[in-house]
Amino acid sequence: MNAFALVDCNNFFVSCERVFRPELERRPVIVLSNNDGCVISRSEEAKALGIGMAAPFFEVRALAAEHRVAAISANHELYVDFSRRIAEILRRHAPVVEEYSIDESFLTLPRDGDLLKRAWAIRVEIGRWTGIPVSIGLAPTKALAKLASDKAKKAGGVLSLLDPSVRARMLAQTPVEHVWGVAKRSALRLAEHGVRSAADFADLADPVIQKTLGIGGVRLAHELRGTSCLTLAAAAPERQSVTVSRSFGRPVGSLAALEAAVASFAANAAERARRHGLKAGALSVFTGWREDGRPTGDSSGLRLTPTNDTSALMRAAKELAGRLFVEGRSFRKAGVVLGALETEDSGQVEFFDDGRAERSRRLLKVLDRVNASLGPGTLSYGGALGARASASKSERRSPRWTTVWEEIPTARA
Amino acid sequence: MFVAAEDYADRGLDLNARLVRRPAATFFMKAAGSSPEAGVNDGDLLVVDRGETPAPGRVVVAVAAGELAVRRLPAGWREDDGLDVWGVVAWIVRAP
Repeated sequence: MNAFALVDCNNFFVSCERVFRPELERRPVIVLSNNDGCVISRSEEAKALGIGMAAPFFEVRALAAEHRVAAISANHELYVDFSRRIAEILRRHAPVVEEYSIDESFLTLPRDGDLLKRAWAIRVEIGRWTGIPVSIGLAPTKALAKLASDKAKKAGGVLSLLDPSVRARMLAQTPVEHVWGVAKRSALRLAEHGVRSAADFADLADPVIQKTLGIGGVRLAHELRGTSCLTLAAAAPERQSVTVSRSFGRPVGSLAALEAAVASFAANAAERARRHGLKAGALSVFTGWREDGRPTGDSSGLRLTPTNDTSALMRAAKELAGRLFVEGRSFRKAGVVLGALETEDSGQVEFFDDGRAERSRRLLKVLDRVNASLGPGTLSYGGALGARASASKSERRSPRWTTVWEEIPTARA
Repeated sequence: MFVAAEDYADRGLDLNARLVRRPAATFFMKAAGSSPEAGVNDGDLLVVDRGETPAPGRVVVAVAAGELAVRRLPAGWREDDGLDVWGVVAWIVRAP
């Protein structure tokens, strides 16, 4: 029988930044989303200062200045490169690796020999080879492995829930809303049945769970009891979605401006999809604004004939912007998500191809080439231009140390 | 005698395969300044392998005062000597 391991990179983006900037060790560090909108990764020192995950930067700016917090703009090229390196190392240790997200991977390990020792060896190797600290959870199921890795962070790096008595103790101590996939809403519904801890949830009778949370909930309960229901997505798609979003430098209040913004995001997302040889079968747009001082959001989506054509995706994004626009609302952010991705060659036949598709493809090749050599956004579609005005500038991005020759780190000799 | 081409290497020598033993652990850096002791000149391209075990006499990139710096590990160097080794310089690439 196999055991599952979840390998989770600690404070991944911050850890990547620290690899080439050792002076950031032991200092509070935060990484900000595109255009410095909000905090997307925090060092332990930054967490201790009370800087929250996803906090808007303007809310923590004073605190950051006071405590000399290093605030760095996201450098996704760097993070993707480290993610790739770590996955490569994991494949040396396990035959099947599911890259669950940029900083988490599931593995299956044959349940023979000393699994804890193997997990420690993996952790040490990733640390030595890449400089990234990871936490590893071992368990008989994926849901338990996820829980174990969360707890491993505090337990020093590796934690096993393979032993049933350790497992029982851990489940009793864990509030049910800390379990993977249990949303606040579900937790409230479970509370009506007297469920507080993960153990209470696992002890609930299946029909009750089925009634409150559906079949997904039953599966989760089985996973917590130690019966594996979720297998590894062996050939996990490299990307499940492409997201492009921005916090606006100035709030956006007109339909034309919102349309222009999401159109430029769609163009950017289309370019990324093409770079990865992917087509999107779905596109959604989300918006964010503040209501009574609290961040609020909305989203809307469309199914598409799979495409990565800039003009088609821009059209879809603009249509959704029209649905989401409300007069008098000051939008603070918006984003475009491409979903239902498939590889270009698996595409379905376009029934209404009248030669426009081929012309469009040729144009896109030129567009991508120019943008690749002269910087993103050098050439863009007319409809996307307006977004420039609302985009604020990100200034604190670190060099692309591992992907661009001109930006490799220097070592003093 | 007939010899199938595919019995032999079907491509030339690959410098990348030669210089990068552990791709996941290898990083490229540029030397700033010269260190005769480490055999490094200003502008040299350093192929740094974090998977290689540091040993006395090896040229390494170390962390010194919060900075990355090239050093040659002295004879008798040991892992607990306090010098914080970032990675081992596996190759130095230099134009003549």
